[in-house]
Amino acid sequence: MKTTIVVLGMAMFVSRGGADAQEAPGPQPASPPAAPELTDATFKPLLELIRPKPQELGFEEIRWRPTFWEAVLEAQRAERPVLVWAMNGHPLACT
Amino acid sequence: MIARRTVWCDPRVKDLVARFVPCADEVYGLQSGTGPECELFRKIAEQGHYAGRTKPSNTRQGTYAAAPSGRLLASVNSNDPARMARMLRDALAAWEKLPREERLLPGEPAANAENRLRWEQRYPADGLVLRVHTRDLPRAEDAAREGSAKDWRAAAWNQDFAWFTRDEARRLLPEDPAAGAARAVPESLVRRLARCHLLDDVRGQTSQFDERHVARARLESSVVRHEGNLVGVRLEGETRTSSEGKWRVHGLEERSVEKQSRGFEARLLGRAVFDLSAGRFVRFELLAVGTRWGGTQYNCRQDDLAPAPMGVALTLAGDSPAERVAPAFVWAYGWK
Repeated sequence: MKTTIVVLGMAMFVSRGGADAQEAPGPQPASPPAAPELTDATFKPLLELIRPKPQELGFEEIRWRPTFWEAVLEAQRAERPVLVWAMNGHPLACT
Repeated sequence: MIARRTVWCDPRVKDLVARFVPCADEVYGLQSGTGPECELFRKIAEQGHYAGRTKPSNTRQGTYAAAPSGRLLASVNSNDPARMARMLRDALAAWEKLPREERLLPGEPAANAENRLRWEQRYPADGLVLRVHTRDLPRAEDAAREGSAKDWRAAAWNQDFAWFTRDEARRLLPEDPAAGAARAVPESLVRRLARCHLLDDVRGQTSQFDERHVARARLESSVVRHEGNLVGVRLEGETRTSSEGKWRVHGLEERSVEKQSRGFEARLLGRAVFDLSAGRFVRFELLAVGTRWGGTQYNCRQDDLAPAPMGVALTLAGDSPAERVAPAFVWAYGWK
């Protein structure tokens, strides 16, 4: 983690625009804000930073059936109650 | 998406969930579709926390515990694990009291009774399936800057899937995969990536971009290694999507539409390994890192519209049932 922060800090220093860049209105920033530079050196730390950490993926330890009907069929056979997590956008994809 | 971290990671909740058959699904199709599956869901939802509701929306989002018969046991729409645990305990108590004849559907429900087209039927088992993760990247003046949230938004991330057919996946590397060979990935594929996957859904659902919103979409693929059947590929490129118009950015708040703009300008860099004998990628990592701006109605950017850094990571998915869920905007792929 420390290495990640150091590498990204350097990348941001290299690539960031003026101090007012964050305030630029409109569809196109007048000068680029501080997006980290994407290079071979920063690739791995950025990948680690963006991907969820194991502690953020605890919800995947639940064996979610990916469709309601699949769960209904199984619950009927097993004589167990069904639990439906239903959201705008599939909760296991983008919600 | 908040519930992934708050509710479903909670050990008390997980212990209780083990006593159910849990499923996750998209609510709009269930509440508005036809066939036994949707009818059963509506029967359950209309006994639940949003029964009969039409304002501020008619959504039936939430978590429902029910008997297979359609009898609601308990329900809630909450990101609070304590409330969820209470609901699950109430549901189990209600289940225990329910006579067997009221628990189950009469007869054996048909396995194919979903009766509605699901994109999951187009899952490209022999192609390329990627997990897509999005997250805000550190900002130079995080402490002082408006929009740098201190609540759940500070650590927000989201996910989706990206699909490529076998033919599309093969076109991500040069036809002749000799070391040093290079090609431009077909623009249609890169534009699709930009339209449907390089999106600011970090804090919540957003919309895809249309073709006319893609200003740049370039991805070069070059072979850096070829040993036996394994071909190592480097990917490098850039995209820019931008849209202007009038729309809402304040969720369900009743406000008039205002002039808005949104977009994402990114550099792309990746590495992958293709197995020629299997005809598929065995490793795939692609990053898009750059600047996003603006917001849409439900992506919680109303106080964070100014340009700010964001990253998207696309990595190889597994093939478990939960990883076969269709991408949010697969309908915009243009697949016939």
